[in-house]
Amino acid sequence: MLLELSDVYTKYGQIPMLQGVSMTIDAGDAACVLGSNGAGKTTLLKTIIGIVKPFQGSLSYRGENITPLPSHKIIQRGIAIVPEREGLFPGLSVDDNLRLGAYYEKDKYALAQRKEEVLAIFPRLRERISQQAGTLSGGERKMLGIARAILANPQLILMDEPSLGLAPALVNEVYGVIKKIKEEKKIALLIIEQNAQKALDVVDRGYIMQKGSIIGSGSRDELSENEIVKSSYLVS
Amino acid sequence: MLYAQILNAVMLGCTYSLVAIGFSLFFGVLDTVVFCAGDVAIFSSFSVVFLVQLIGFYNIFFGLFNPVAALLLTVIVAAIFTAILMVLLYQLVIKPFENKSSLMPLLSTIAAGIALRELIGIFFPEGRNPRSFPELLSNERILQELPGISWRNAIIIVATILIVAILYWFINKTKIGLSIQAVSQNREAATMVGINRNLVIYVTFIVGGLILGFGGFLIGSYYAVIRFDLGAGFGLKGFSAAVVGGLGNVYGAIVGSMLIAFAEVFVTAYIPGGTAYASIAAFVLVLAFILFKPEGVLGNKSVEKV
Ligand SMILES: Nc1ncnc2c1ncn2[C@@H]1O[C@H](COP(=O)(O)OP(=O)(O)O)[C@@H](O)[C@H]1O
Ligand SMILES: [Mg+2]
Repeated sequence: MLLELSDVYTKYGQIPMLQGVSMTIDAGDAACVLGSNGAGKTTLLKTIIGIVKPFQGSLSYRGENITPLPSHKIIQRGIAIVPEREGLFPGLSVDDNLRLGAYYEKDKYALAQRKEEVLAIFPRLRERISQQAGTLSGGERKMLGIARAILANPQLILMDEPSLGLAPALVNEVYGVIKKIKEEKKIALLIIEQNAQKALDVVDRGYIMQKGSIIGSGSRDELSENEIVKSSYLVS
Repeated sequence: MLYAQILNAVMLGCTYSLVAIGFSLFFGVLDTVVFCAGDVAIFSSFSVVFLVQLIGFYNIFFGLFNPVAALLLTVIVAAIFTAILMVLLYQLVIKPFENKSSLMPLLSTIAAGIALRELIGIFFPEGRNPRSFPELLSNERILQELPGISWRNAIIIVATILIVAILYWFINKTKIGLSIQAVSQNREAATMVGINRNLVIYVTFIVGGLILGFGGFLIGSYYAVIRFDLGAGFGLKGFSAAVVGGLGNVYGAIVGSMLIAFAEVFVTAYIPGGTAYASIAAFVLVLAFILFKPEGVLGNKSVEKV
């Protein structure tokens, strides 16, 4: 098992947020968490990488208890994140943004090789390699966020609403890339989405989240038939 | 005459620059103003005085080293003292308050600045009197045909350029330098790519401390006479320059310093009774920027719109 959350509770100040969340991700797995605005999806990701600390429950990664570790130590273990929005360094070049994605890579040769692979997936980033990230379009920024995560060579990538704020054509493009990553790389994916249609298209299974709790889970087919999913997240 | 004024303004701008860069670096990673930067620079000036006396005391020193090596050693040791002081200040007066409110570090660093000033006044022998700064850089002209270009002036300008060039290389070409920029531009994203923000802050305080340390030496060399309370004025000028240039932007700090220095020098030179207005001119400039261009000349924290 790659990642396991056991009965995790968090709060913001006095306000409870995650309420007994348990989930597992296996190596090479692709799962999603569906939930509406304010359900606590972003909080879940922040909890996994240690930005938000649980007051009860625990997290383990490849068998190691990571609950008390600071964020940079958790990320060093092989988790990368594609933030919801504004997750880039706007004043730095595309190249430097990528370089910071592979913060812990010591092997320069391996890094250069991986960068070539990534730029082959994202040819538009190659064209803009020395441009400031802040000058990229919304779609290009998303791509840069994903490219940066791949460059870290993680075993697990967490994606926070990859379709958010993008025009339908761009959403298809982004999900095309996600599908490619899933098929070509041995990276596990945890995708957070409100757009269930797109997410269920690439994942094998998923969870439904409401008000800080996991209220359901199942395979892709089960979720597609699930009443809550059909009524709340498949309306588009 | 004009030539002399320009030269004078550039020199003054150089001395402000290094203090302003300190302000900008610290603001970048902390999002709060570290107000004692001016006093820290003056601490370095006094460290140089102290070290030179020490070296004079152990005369053997000059027998061991040639004068240039002794000079470099003095300046580097003073800069290291200053960097250590800066890290201590972070640890003792900023870190404990960091998560409380952004106003607390502001107040605590103002207090630390006053304390530092008074400590110099109390513990340095005759610390409250003006002290002549050792003439480590010669006042002789490099070329007889070039008035105003003494070794001292040339070294102040070249050293400033060199320090800025090294800083440029450091923050753009090294990984730790890039992570300083990353933390400045987007703190949360920096955490998300696995940057250790604590480490970045310490490195920034060491680098900023070294720059203030070199700044203190250049300030002393430029003014020739220093006083324990000079830091207050330098803090205010350095902070103003950083605001004019766009807080958090290191190159903006240099532009802001030059603008303020030119304003001061030219008001003094060309307005009757101008000396009295020089400082006012600087602050009018700051107010104008706060009102009309709050992001500063080169401020880029506003690039972040979709
Ligand atoms: N740093 C924070 N401090 C206090 N409350 C927060 C913070 N971050 C998020 N919240 C609140 O927690 C709830 C869940 O937020 P979030 O995890 O971002 O939801 P989602 O990503 O599912 O839309 C929201 O009501 C939000 O206002
Ligand atoms: Mg969210």
